[in-house]
Amino acid sequence: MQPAPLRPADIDALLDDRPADGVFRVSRAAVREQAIFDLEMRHIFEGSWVFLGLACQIPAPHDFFTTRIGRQPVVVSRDGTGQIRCFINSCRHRGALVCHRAAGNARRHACQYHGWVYDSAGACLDVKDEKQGAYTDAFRAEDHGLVQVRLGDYRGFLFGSLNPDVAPIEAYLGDVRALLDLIVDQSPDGLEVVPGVVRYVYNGNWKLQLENGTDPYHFTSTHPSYIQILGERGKKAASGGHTSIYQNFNQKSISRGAFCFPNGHAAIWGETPSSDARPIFRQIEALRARVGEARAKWMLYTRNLSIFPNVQFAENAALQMRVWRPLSPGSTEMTTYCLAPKGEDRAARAVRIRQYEEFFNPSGLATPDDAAAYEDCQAGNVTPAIDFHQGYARGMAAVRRGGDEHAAELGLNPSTSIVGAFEMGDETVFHETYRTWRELLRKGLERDLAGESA
Amino acid sequence: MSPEMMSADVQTIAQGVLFEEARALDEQRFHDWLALYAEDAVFWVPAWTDEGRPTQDPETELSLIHCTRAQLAERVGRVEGGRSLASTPLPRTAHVISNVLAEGAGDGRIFVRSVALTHAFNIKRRETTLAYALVEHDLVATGAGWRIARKKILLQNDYIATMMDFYTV
Repeated sequence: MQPAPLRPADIDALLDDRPADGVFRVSRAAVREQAIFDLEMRHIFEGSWVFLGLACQIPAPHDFFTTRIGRQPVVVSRDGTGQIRCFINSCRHRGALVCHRAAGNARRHACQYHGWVYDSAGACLDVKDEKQGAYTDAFRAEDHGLVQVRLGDYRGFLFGSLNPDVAPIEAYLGDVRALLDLIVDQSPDGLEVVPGVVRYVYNGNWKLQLENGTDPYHFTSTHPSYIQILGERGKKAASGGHTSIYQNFNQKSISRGAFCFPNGHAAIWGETPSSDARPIFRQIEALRARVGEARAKWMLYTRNLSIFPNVQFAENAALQMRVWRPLSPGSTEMTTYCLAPKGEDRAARAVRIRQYEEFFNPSGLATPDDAAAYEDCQAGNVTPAIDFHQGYARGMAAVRRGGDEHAAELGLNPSTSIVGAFEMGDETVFHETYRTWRELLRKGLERDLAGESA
Repeated sequence: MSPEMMSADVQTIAQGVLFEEARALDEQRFHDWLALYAEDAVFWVPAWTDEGRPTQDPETELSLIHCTRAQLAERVGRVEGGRSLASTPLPRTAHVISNVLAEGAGDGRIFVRSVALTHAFNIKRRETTLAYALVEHDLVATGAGWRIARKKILLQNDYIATMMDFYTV
């Protein structure tokens, strides 16, 4: 038997959001139900902006990479004039993929089914045997080019949308742009991707990853084996020469803060236990001179940034770009890259890469334990036997509307701010994200229902 | 000794080390496994690029795993310590080692190419994963017997089911 179709009231019931009563609860249905997943695909991943990749991944004319916007395969291509474009990876003739590789350089993309050929701007160059095809004038009047979609480019961070009516990307990102600036400006030459991509699939909902990226509460209980290894290394090592920013980790001595931003974005930040382990610390005086004391300090902080709905930039053990693609309510594909400032010296780069691998890889010492925890969450949540999680309440008595003095250092105007001891393990950082999420689902469902009754 | 005999000896020695390594992993005798590695050994699983080539320089490119023997020992401690959710309960594995081609590399060294199929059974989820890889070993003769100086595992299906570690490849 099919479950009853969703009504707007069902979407409203996904959150129990009563600030006056000190209550914020998220329904356990949010990660479980296929009908909700379908709405998320249509109205969030295919109805709003999603992150695609970086302009530095396609530096030369005709460079391209392929990805998806929601379920839809797309090509992100730098055309012959240097302009970056995003078009749907589907031949106009019968719909076959025209580009089969994850990345490369190609002046032409040819469909190998009936032989239609497109250039790197997506324009159709050849309908095979068009002259002999006995086509009508109506066909000849059509544009046969690959269908272009909205592309947003903020300083080389590329976003795409299947919805032509989305707000400009600058407005969508808002003050999050200042946090992206902290990534790009670590080198005067900008950012680059360390060659090598790591993909994995975990058996859990995409929002489990979204939450984990800005969740300081889990660190000491999910990663004790990693913390223990670092502790033992610290005992063996000569004084100084930290190999991990988490060496000297002591939750009693460091604070953690968080910001929520409009449109579902969120960030956590904190002092770094061992700043000298950061590769950029080797050039810290030059960095301070170039970007100023305050921004250099923020570049050394640990900062995890979630840009709703599908990317996180985590700068803690190293700098990771993690992009996800929901496959089903209980399955998510992760695509992960190590980022670095351009021009970093060879020794610093090697240190960065080792730090990255051992923390962030699904073959490392930390990420496997996160993924195993997501899978346990998904496995424990398969029926409506329990209505709401109790996992979004920490920090509620301390959070404030607007920015705090830390936000002011970067000129940020977040929706909410909080700062406290590491053990506070704030969870208010998820609230605006879930409010945005519910709003998009609710509006989307109302449009669906209006369309049905029209 | 004829060249053919020498070749046969090299092949026998290499298979002995590779099969012992696989057996130690499958029987979860991880300290016996570690003892097969030379003190300065490197254990390397390259990543692949989006352009479809394996990474070649671990100093400038990303690897899935790039470990010294000391770091392998840390991984063994993590797996045995019971504080890693991903490693508890530990998957049961069967390493199938095949297509072994050994050649003398002079100076008490042997270079070995092989194919490894590693089946791992996740007890909690009751699911099996399969990793298949083209493997290289550099073996070196020591006073205590043959040891692994370098192992390179080129994972052919680098689309990872949740996690991987030294015992699942």
